[in-house]
Amino acid sequence: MSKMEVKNIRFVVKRWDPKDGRFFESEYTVPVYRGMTVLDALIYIKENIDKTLAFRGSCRMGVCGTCGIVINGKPRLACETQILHLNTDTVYLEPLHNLPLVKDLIIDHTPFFEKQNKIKPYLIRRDMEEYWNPTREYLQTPEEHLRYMQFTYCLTCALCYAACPTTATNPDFLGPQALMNTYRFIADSRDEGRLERIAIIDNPDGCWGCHLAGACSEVCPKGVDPALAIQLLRREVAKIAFGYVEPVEGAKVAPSLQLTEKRITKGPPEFTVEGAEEKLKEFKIPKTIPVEKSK
Amino acid sequence: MFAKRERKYKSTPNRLGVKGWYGSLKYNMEKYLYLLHRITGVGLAAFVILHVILMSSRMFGEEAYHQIHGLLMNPYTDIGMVIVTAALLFHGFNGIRLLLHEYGILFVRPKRPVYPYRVSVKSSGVRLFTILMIILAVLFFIPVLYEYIIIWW
Amino acid sequence: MSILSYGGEIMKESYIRLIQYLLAAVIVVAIAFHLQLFSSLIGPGYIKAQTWEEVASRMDNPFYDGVYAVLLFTVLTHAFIGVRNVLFEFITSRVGRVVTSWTLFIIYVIILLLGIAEIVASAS
Repeated sequence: MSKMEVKNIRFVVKRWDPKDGRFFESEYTVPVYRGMTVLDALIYIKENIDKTLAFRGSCRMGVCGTCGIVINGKPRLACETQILHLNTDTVYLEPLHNLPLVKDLIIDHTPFFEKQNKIKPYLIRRDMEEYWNPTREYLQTPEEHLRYMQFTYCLTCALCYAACPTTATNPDFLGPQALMNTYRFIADSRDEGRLERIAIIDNPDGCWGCHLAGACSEVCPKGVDPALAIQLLRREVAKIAFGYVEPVEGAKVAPSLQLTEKRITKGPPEFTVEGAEEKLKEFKIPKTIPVEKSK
Repeated sequence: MFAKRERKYKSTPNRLGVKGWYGSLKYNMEKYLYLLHRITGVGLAAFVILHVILMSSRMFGEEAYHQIHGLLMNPYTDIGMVIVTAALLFHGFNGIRLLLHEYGILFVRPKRPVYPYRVSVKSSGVRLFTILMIILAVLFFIPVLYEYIIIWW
Repeated sequence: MSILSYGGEIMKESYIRLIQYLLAAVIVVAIAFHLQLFSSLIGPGYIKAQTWEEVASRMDNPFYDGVYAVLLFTVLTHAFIGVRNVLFEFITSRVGRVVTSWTLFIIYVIILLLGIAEIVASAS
């Protein structure tokens, strides 16, 4: 693709000064070509204009989730945002909201990850013997997988956390990502820790802090839809509040490989059909199939 | 150690506060319905308290009622009542939507995310129901306006 | 009375939210009678200033007394829980939440008693 310059675009970056503890703004003009992303522009600024600008980015293709910043008032991934698609002459960049700042556009994900860890984001099983010394995988049908598959696409980029109106005022709110992750494990047929997780999220700082603003789903770069997960999670919690507690039976472990191993060692089954060998001789079928020699 | 860390992120200078409720006017419509629901809710709560206090005057008989009533007989109160009714209608119909959607009723199911992503609140069925509720609120508001015009004339 | 606490007890907040929604469903029906919604769809009645005769006739009608009683309780409880939810977003400390709940509850009880006194006085 040609890197023909299309137009000059002004970038206003709201930066955090950790020494003085204040925000300040810097302005840069960047020649933008077709297909240039905001992350490309930031790299251009750092290479050619201002070496002191600090930002974070890694994969440049929306997989690692490190480059989340607020672009023109909305949290987005810098690497997935085309500058020309913004349709503005001035692009306003800010660090992600509701998270501690490190420097300039870099934020600290620590509270975000701490909240994710609070809801125990791993499979909880009752059979500890199998849990620590697994023999084989847990069985799961594709239909069961589809019940939570959408929620496993999360990058933990914290865009939803920055967009949520409840996290804006309540610093203890778990946030859309942690609640979505709770539902991801509750909906998993292999998990047995449903009640344990619901005990953690059933409070005003948990799933009842959500008021269905849908901002988290709006900004999610992977279509994970945390708003949907939280509403489904609330349905599960409400079911239990109504006294409708289903017995949780985690998925079974796949049968061990022993049987299959025996079959293989036994070898191919012998011919038992009467007169089959005579018939084969009649047709003059060679016992070994000739292999075509390589040139 | 842990408490110190907690305090550190509670005093995040980048926390939006109430500004995060309305954001930058670039979000989906549900976010603004959420804000309106909240404003109308708190407003109606204040109104109900006022309403009960004022209307309790009638237990002291006709005279006391007329005294309070005389205070309220002015065009500003009429405009106020129209706003309160509008708030009530919005809060009611949006509340029906929230009541159903917050328990996952008339909502969508998890699906395989395929680009371009269509999230739950924006999927056609959910959005249609939201718009239907707003249209119903507006339809019920028409007689209020009609009545207000009659009073005004 | 988990409604007066900080909301951290297991499976209590979900009951409060269930109550909130059940009350909402009752209010939707009761308020339609209160505003004379069905008659106002045909003619005026929404915000028309009530004359003393109309008010007195309503006070004598036991059906409207019932509607008043139901509305008073449901609307005030709904408002109490709703404002509590909003305030809990700003007040995150445990003590602060308990204090907030109790403050709101005292206001709630005062208004409720005033309303009950009014209904009882008009019914007798």
